[in-house]
Amino acid sequence: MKKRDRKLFAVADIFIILFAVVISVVALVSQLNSKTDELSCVVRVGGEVVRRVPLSQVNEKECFEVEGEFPVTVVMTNTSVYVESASCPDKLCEHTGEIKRASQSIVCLPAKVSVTLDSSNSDLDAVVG
Amino acid sequence: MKKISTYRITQTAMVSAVALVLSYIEMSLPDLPFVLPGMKLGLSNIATMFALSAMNLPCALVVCMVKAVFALLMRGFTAFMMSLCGGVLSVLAMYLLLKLKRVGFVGVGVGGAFCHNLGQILVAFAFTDSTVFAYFSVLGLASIITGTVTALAVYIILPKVLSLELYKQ
Repeated sequence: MKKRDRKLFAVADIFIILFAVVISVVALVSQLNSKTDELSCVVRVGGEVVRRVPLSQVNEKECFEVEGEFPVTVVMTNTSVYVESASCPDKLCEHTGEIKRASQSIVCLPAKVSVTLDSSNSDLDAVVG
Repeated sequence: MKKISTYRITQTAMVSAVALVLSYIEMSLPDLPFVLPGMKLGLSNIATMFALSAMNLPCALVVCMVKAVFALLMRGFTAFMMSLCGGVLSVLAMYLLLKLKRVGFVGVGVGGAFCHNLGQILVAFAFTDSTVFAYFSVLGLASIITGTVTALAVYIILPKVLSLELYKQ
């Protein structure tokens, strides 16, 4: 009664897989176009930049608290950034660990917080409208 | 208004129950090594894909809703939105792919898994900013594996269930 003649794998599937690969690679390449000279840590809440710190200006260790329904503590060192504690239920941002290279990021969805390492010094991200 | 048979309702409820059990098992598993946090196998997609192949589109959508409400109760609103948008998008994608005779189970599974990730990334994007697209490259590649696993499971389960004495349209 139902289409039981469907094969497990058909030629058309190759195109679907290729399509998925191409989109993923495009997304990957668009993230790799960055150098590692000058990194700055950008903290965004709900898409708005709330803090931008060049890592070279960090002495030893600097903590940044993001207030809100789920407070998040972001810790910056001279070479890396990590989320020390988050009060959200899933703790995915804590588990992400340290990020050290440009374009890497930590995202905490419940708190709407994202932490990114930017390689550029431009303040273009702050321009609105 | 078309009448919905008790049989259909029961069937949908049973598949939904399976979806919830699979979600729960997946939640209990530890984070896989070598992958990004939050990345999962998508076991409950087996249930939605089964619902689509053995039943119809409305039933599969109901299974998605049940899954989303379960996510809401267990993990909160963010998880609800992620589950709902990912689920609905993947069901629609799989529905369209199942219409095509030339596409095999693997194609349907991968297409569904890919769209599931796409839906979730879009929700994450709505909640935060474009940072989340960095995840998408890895998620997109992972969906090829998870989609194949889903397809394989449905391919094995489907004929067995359809040949059951109990299973009559």
